[in-house]
Amino acid sequence: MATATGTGFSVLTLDGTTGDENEGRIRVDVRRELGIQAFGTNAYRSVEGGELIREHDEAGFHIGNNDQEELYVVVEGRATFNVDGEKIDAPSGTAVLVRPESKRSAVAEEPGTTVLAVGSTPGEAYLVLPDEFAAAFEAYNEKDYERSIELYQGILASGFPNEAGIIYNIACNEALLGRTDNAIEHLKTAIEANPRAVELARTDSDLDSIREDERFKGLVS
Amino acid sequence: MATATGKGYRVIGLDDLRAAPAFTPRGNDDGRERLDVRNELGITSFGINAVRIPGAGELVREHTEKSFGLSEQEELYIVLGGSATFVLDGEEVETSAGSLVYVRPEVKRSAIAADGGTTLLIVGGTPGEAYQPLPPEAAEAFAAYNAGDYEQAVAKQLRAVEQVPDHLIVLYNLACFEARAGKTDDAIEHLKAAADRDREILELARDDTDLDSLRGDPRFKELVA
Repeated sequence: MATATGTGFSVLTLDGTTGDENEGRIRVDVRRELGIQAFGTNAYRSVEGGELIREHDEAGFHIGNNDQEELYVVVEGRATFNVDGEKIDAPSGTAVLVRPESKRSAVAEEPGTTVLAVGSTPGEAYLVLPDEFAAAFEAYNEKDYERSIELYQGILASGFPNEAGIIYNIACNEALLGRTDNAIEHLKTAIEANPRAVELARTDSDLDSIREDERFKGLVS
Repeated sequence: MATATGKGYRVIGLDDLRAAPAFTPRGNDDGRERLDVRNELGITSFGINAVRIPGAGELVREHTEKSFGLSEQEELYIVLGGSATFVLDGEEVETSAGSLVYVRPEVKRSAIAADGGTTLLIVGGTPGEAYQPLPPEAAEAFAAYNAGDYEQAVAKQLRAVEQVPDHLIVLYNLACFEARAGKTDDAIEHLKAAADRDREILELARDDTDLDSLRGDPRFKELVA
C-alpha cells in the first residue's frame, strides 16, 4: 500500500507487496495509489516470468485520454517487448516509448521483472476518471446493468457531460437490458461527441440486440 | 543516443545515455548528470528527465515546483538502482530501487544518494493542463549560456520564444541572455514583456546577476521600483 505520511507527498515501492495479482501478474494502479492527476501511471510485475503486458494499442476509441503515447520503463529484471512485430531486449534501466497506433506487448524474462508505464495524450490535459468509473465497469461485469447505468449517469452529471466513452457505455448497458430506443439515442449522442465510437459499435457484441434496427444501421454505416 | 529502429517506437538504455548540458547557471552540477529523456525519446505529453550521480551525493537540490507565472507541476520520482534519502517538507523518507515518490507542487523536496549508481527518473505534469514541451532550442540556449557564448544563447532563445511565446521563463531567460550579450534595449524590452505577463517575475529580476548590465539604466530602475 501507498504510505501517505504527509499531505503533500506519498510513497510506494514496487516490490510485489502492492497491487492485484492475477495469473502470476501483479498490476499496480500507481496513479490511483499515489494520487497522481497529471498523467497516467501503472506498473506490472511478473512473479515467475511470462506475459507482462498484453498486446494492445492506444489508438482508437477509449474513455478519455485517446491516442496516448506510452513510456515503459523496466525498473527490475529483464523484459522482451514486441512492438509492431519487432522484438526489443529491455534489461533493467531501459526506456521504451511507443506511439499510440503501434501494437505492443511485453514478456518478463526473469521472475520479479517490473515495468512502469507512464502515458498521456500530446496537446491534451490528462483526464482523471472519478472512482465511480471503476464501480460502473464492475457492475457491468457483474451483469448489474441497471446499477452500471446509474453510476455512469452520476459520472456524466459530475462534470463529464460530453465524454463519449461514458455515453457509449450507457448505450451498451441499455442494449443489454433490451431498451432499444434508449440505447440508440445514447449511441447517437456518443457518436456525435466522438465519431470514432462508430468503429467500436460495428463489432461490439454488447450492442447485438440493436444491430438489426434500421436506426443502428444508419448510425454505423 | 536514442535508437529509432522503428517508426512506432524509440528505445534508450538510461545507463548509455550521455549527460545533457547542465540546467543550472554556470553549469555547476557537483558531479550530477542530467539526462534529457524527454528530448531523447521525443515525448511531448509529459515532462521527464533523469539525474544520476556516480557516488554518494546530492541528486535533487531543495526546491518546490511553484514558480513565477508557471504552471505548478506535480512530480513522480522513480528510484532506479542504488538508494536515496528524500527530504519532503522536512520529513526524511528512505527509498531504494523500485521506490516511487509522488510530490505535490508546493512541497519542498530534496534527495541525496546514499551510495553509488543511483539514478532518479523524474516525471512531471500539471493536473488539468496539457503539457507544453519546451523546444530543444531552449536547452541549447542554456548550454551556450553556460559556455559563455551569449550571442549564440540569444539566437537559440529567440527561436525558442517563437515556438512558446507565452512561456514566461523562456522570455525572462531571453532578457538575461541579452543583458549578458550587452543588448540592453532588447533585454529591457523582453523583461518588460515578461513583467506584463506576471509582475512577480520582477522579484527575480531585482537581484539576478545576469541582469547586472541593465542596473544603471533608468528604464530598468523604473521597472523594478
